[in-house]
Amino acid sequence: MFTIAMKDLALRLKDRRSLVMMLLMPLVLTAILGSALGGNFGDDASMPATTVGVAYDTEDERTNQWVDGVLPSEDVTVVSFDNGGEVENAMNKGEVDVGVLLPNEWGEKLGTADVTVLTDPDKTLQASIIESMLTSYIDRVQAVTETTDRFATALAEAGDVEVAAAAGGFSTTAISIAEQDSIQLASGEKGEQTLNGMQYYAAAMGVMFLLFNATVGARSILQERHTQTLARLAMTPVRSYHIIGGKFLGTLSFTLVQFSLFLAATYFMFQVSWGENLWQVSFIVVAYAIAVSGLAMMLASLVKEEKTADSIGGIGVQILALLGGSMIPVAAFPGAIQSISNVIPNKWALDSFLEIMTGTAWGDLYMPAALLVLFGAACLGVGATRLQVR
Amino acid sequence: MLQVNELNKRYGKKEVVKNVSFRLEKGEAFGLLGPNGAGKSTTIAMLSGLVPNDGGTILWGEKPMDPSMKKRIGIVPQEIALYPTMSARDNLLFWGKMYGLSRKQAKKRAEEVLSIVGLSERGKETIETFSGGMRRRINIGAALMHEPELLIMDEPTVGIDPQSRNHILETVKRLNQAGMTMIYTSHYMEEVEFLCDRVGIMDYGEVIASGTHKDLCKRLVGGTVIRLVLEETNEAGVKAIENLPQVDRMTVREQKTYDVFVQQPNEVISDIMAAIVENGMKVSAMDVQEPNLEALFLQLTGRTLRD
Repeated sequence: MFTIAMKDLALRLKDRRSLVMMLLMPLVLTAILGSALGGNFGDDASMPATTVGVAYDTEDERTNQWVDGVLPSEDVTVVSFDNGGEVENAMNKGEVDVGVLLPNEWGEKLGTADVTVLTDPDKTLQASIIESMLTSYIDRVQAVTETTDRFATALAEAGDVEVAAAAGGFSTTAISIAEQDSIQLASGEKGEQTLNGMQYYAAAMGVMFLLFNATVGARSILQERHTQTLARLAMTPVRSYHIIGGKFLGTLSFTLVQFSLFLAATYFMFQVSWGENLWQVSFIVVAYAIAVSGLAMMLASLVKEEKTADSIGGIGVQILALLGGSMIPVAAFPGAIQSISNVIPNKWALDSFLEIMTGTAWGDLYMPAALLVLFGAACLGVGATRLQVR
Repeated sequence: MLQVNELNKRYGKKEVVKNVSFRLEKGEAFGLLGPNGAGKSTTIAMLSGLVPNDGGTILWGEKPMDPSMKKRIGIVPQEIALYPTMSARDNLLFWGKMYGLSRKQAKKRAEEVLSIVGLSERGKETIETFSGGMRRRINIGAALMHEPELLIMDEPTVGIDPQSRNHILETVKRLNQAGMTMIYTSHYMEEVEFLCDRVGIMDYGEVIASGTHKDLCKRLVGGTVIRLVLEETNEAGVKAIENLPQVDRMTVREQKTYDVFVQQPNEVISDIMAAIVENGMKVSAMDVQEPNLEALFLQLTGRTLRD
């Protein structure tokens, strides 16, 4: 069993494409998303009640999103005008505190087109806040666009997953991150530490990319079935449960190696604190690795072709990552989706890591760890029952 | 050593192996010859424990075959079942360990096996860099790691060049001469004739004939084939040859090419030539082919082994 597992681990570590995909990509994404979106975590700043007059005569998606979705809040009221003159008149009458004049096709040329912010000399604070909201929105959209591009390029080079599905899914959800006005993440009640964006995205990307092992592990089994090495293994004196156990342990061991390297890299490169108790981190990552490896076995038993596993895995990982909070904190979802998220294994893992980062008691980790192990065992059971060697 | 009795396998409604029986003595090389789809690989899969048999028994000595006996058998599957990104040596080490060898034993044996298959200098290289023939040799080597008592090879020369095939056949022959018992399946008649003491001919899941090469060829009606390629031909001349008393039968192989089946070629060649000349025909080529299993298969099934 261990010989099979070690052989699988060695093969995975020798596979450069896989290493790029599984080790470098989460680091790159953590760096970009953590830096670009980091400031949004835990901000609870308030501003005086402000009426913003916006003049624009363009109907592109991003302009509408910013004017109708991002800008309005409890403190900010948005009034639309047809042109700059009308905004100035409203300001002179005291109906508007800050004026924003968006040029044609502003949404399309985001960041390059000039935006005019009209300021009432008595209300410079509101004007500067509105201006910073505008700049922040532009920065976020650009950061996420760049991230999406790099992600898609890397996936295309790695070739291990359904690129179109993966990049498309990530793009959609990443853009929605940018469209969030402010992503709030409350610190755990028991925690004494505050969470920053880099920490959140380190945990989120770590959990998401460990999840890819479900696909990669399944692929490994399907490949062995295709090349008949699995059948050859079945002809040796090795028992079938040792073969299945070996394949399971192979995925598990790579998952653990991947996470260890990712943890070390995020700690040393980005100074990400994973909390004060690394044993707790190890405890959860082992439980999560069991869940992911079990999922790989089940996936391999349900599909026959590697491409099918890629497609299902690629899309499945996207959905699970989204629902599990790896792209947007689950708190940003509507209540119904949050309820669904509660039964997603990667959410249990992510929540546990975040709790460990902010400081938590061992008792709070037992339940998610038990659920992860049970999930993995159930999937392994299904996989072991259904898996065919040829 | 091994006795297979009335072995059966059915996939759905299709019976792919029907009452296959044969015996194998220690040190013997037994060939299973048949076209693709004859049931050879399924028979091997049952012998190796990969698929369960629906009927019949497999006895090792006096005992029914069980999983503990897998250690005594080496299987060379038809596919190259190796890890392409691992080196030849690492593949051998891995498969050796799967048969219970310690790391130290496997290392020592891997060097011996690399030498047996003639790839001692290439052990460090990955399988993906090897030619088809070299891959096949390592595929055989992996089955030799644990020094099995019985080596079962399922079409081990499929898809390789003649030079590599000869190398493999020579290696396998040497192994058998050194005392290794083996079952060799193929649809190449000449391989089975070269390697095997006894042959079972399979078709549509059944062993339709079995015995030594000599025994089987005796069953041929008109054991020797005289192949005539005629430049000019006519019906009367062909009829004259066909009616010669020493000729068992005559078939048209292709246009102007005829196979004449006889028992004693030396006694009939002059009569054939006389019939050709008397009837105004001309010969452009004549070839005398000794009795072989291909001809027997043709006689038994009406098809060639490669049909």
